Amino acid sequence: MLGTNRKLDPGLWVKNYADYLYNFSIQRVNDEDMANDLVQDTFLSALENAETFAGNSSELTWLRAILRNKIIDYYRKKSSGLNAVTERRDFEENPVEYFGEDGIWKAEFAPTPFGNDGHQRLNMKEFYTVLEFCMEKLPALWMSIFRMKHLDEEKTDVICKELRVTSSHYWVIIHRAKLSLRECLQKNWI
Amino acid sequence: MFAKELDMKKWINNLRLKANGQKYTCRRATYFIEKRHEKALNINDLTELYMHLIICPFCRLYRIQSAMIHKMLRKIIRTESANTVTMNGDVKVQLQHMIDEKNRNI
Repeated sequence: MLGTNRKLDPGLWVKNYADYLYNFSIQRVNDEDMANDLVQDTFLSALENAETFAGNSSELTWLRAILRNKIIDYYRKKSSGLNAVTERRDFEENPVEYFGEDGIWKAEFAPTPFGNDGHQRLNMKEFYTVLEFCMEKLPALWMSIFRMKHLDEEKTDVICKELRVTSSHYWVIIHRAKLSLRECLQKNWI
Repeated sequence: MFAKELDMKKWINNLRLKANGQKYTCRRATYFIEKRHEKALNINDLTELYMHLIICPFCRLYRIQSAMIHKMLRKIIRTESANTVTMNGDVKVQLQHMIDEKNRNI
């Protein structure tokens, strides 16, 4: 029993930290069951590795660090594992080619103003809805990158290291993701 | 100028002629536009981008739209995260039970 470790108090973990950790994880994985599982895994591996708790940081900081690693594992699995091979494989294997061989826009993909009438004021609320719809269609790895970037303000090299992509691959992904979002907005904006 | 399909093709052909033989392409320009949201470009890349933007109305429009998407994307991700939620009560009870159980056996 960990009763001897005065710094850790597992009996109060759920009461004190479950909501915070659950929130932290649902923001990043966007799935309730998965968020529950991640929190559970976090508590269990915290118990198993109780001796690694040095007491330099607070219990919460320590638990959050464990959770964070679990989330990154989840991102990695999602981007390389079974999930990635379903309906989303087209993105990586048959990327849409927006440009001709000379690097100039193909006529069917060249940007035009959003909406029927370029002068019409954009309805922002609708724009959000369409953009959210378009984000759903992106591969998991791409969304993971956006979340890490905008939620945690991670530096690009940290993201690359944690998701195991090279920095040039990172920029290619960002480029493709944005091309595809723009294209999707154009198509679905009425 | 974007009104008709025909005009569009004419514009693109026009652009093709202008861009012919140049290394400045729409592919590279859009890449630099995206990179620039996060990182300052070096002087060569920046020059290349602007040289291209001068001749290409499509990439000029792309730049505006890309900035808009970037801003919105950020906002959506931030908003998602601002909604605080709590863990289901039953799940919590089970979870604490599991922790106590395991803790007893360590």
